[in-house]
Amino acid sequence: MTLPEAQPVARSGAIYDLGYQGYDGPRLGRPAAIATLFWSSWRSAFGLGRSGRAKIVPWGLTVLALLPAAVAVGITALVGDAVQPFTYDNYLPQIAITLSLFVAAQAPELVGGDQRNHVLSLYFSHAIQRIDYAAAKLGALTAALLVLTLLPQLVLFAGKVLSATDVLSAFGNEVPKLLQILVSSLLYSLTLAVIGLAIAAFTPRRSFATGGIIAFFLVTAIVGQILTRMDSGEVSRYAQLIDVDRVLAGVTHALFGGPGIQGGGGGEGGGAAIPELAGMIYIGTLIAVLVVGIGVIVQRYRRVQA
Amino acid sequence: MTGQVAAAGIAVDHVARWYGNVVAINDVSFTLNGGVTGLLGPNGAGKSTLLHMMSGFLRPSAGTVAIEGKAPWADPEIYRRIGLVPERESAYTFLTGREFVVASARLQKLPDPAAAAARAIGLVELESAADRAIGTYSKGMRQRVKVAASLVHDPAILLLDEPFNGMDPRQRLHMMELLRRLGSEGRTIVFSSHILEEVGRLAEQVLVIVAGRLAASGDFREIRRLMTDRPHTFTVRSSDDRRLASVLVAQPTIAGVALEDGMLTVRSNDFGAFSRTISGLARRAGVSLHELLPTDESLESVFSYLVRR
Amino acid sequence: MNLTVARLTLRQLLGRRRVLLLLLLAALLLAVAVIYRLTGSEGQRAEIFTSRLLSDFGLATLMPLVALLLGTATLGAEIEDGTAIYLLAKPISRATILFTKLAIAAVGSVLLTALPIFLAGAITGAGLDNGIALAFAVAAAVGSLIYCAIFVALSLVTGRALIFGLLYVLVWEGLLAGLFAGTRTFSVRQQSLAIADALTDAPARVLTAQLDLTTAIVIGGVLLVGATALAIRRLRRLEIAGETA
Repeated sequence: MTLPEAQPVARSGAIYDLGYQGYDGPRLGRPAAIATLFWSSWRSAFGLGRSGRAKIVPWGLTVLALLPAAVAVGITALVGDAVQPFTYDNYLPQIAITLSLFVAAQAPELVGGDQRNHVLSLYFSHAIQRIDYAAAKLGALTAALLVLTLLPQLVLFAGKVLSATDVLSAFGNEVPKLLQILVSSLLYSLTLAVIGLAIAAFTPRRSFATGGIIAFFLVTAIVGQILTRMDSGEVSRYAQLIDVDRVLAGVTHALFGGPGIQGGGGGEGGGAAIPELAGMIYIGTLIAVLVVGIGVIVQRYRRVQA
Repeated sequence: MTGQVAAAGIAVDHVARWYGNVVAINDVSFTLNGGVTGLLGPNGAGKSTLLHMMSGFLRPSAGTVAIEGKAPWADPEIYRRIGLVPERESAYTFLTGREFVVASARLQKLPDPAAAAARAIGLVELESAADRAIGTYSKGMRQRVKVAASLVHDPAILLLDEPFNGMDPRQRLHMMELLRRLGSEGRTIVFSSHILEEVGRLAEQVLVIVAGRLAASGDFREIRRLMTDRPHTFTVRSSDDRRLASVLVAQPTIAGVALEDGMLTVRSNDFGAFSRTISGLARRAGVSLHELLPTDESLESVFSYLVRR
Repeated sequence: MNLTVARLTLRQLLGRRRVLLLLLLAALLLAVAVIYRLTGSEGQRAEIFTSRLLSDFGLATLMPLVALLLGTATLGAEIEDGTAIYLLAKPISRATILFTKLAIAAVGSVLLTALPIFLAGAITGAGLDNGIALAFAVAAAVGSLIYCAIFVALSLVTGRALIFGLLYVLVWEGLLAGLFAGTRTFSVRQQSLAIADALTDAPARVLTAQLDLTTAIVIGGVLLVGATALAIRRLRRLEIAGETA
């Protein structure tokens, strides 16, 4: 076999300028910038893109949030429908501690670092406005909490449907509950995120932020419970509104019916069940909390020194 | 490494330090006994790691570190003999400079803390600002107060991690003068830097660390002489450069000549031979020499050679 | 105990919003007590209320939070940003440094916990009967000490001492101790309750601990000594690297 004869190649050469290149093409603009910040914040809430040690706490807490649901589904599979330790109505209050811990641990991750390293000026010199930053961070934390609130309830949902003898009709029965699952998860996630960010946005030090957030949740819960058990008239009737969990449970109940709010927390000794207020009061309180919280966050990022 | 040397000063013997798969310091050995030594290397070379191992804050993964014959790891008593100026920002920004130095003196269990502190503050020339909170200091002042705190107990060994960071030229000169004086009193002083100029001006000896290994040690001029695989460069100005060049290029020890910028650049493999014979060669060629400069005797050229190896 | 270390630590812990937050918590406890005094009932119901206030708010909320914030900060803050090197590059034994820092945190915790608890108990009007207020105050003092030791040790073991401390308090002592009786043995909260129960003559309806006194004291002591020993050992072998190499 002969090789084809080599063709003479025209010689040419060029030197390419690989120095700094400007860019004049189309740019994605503000919405894309916000979306990017949203996603990267969401990822950092779960320690994605960082070392293993950063993942321990958020993933551990996620597992903790899922555990009761998994256990419940397991029990139902073994024992049947008779035992229903968790339903949609009472699931979120049960994991309230885990949710608060998640917010306390991860809210400083989202906003503390930027303050500590003084990079806010870098953000604001791009397409992102101050209010975009606040919105993206709030959205990301809410979305992260949604994983912890939505997932377990969906697991319960799947468990109920799949363990029933007639899957299709069970599915039909449970589908309306999906709306409740969605809305209650959203409300819980949003409220906790707002409170968490409102506290974490004020300090670059992680321990202050975490301590402050947990102190807020713990103390409001305890004080609310204690005051309501005082049976001293008006104070104890309305004191329950201090407890964020109770307000959220009240709103869920008002919107979706179902059994009454579970009595507030465990505790030894007697004490009448905490009286339930009109649904509108809970809804009004929640709206007030959200408005104030979001206002605090927006104000903070409007005025913080970049 | 005789017993006599090991009993005083710093002795580092085949020391290595790794973090999992990352080797930060790799088989480094040297002894220091008095005088000022500069620890030179690019960022990330392992200078801080080495200093922290010498000061007892990191444990060597292999090898031994000995300060006056004893290992500094987990031995708080060693800090009577060592003064450490870390790179970290100083804590206690709410204290005044004087309070900070006095506290250091007290922690050193000195019999008269106030006097020792006053002396140390005087050494670094910080009297005028000594009664202001450290939080109000400039970076150079914070460095100086750290040095004062490390000197308050009159240590025989002083370790400084990037001490000239943030100092303006005048402060730097003053600090160099101070360190030079302390070194001449017999103390062993080690300071790290990635700025060649600082090390070249102050250090009597250098330890060049590159990627965790000791690339060279000793007087940098001596090191240069030892770099025989790299020709020495000289610039010559004479009455007839071209003629001199043609004479030189015929010599066996000359690696090359270049005529540029109105000067003659000569590369020679043998520094000594060239220095001895250049004047004779020039005279026989009828050329008179105006200027003769070795151009790469600087620490910079030594350093860049070592780094590129 | 080293006086200079103590003074420095004191100034570090006191000079910030930290103390404000803790004072706020104590003030809240007192506020609830005041509200009850003004609007609530008396007699045995007051006793029950006081007991629940001091146990649920005082021991279960205030005590751990205060101990957490002071215990993790007394040494942890300096280790986290590496400035502990200034304190450690001195010829002082690590045990001395640790005891001093622990003592400052513990004293601060006791003051900010036991004192408000006693006052709140006295304010509600029922705390001085059967010595409830004093019993809880002593229990809080002991519990604060054990908590501080645990949290100081924790701050030497991990950089996220606050979160893991919270996990211990909220999940172990809160959730699990409610479900599994065995975990109560290692719950500082239960140990404090046992001490309070033993110190007061109040009837069972008012206060019943779930742990017997001997177990509480023994295990509490083990936790205290063990945590302190662990902390000293970790401090002796603490490694501090430079910022850059």
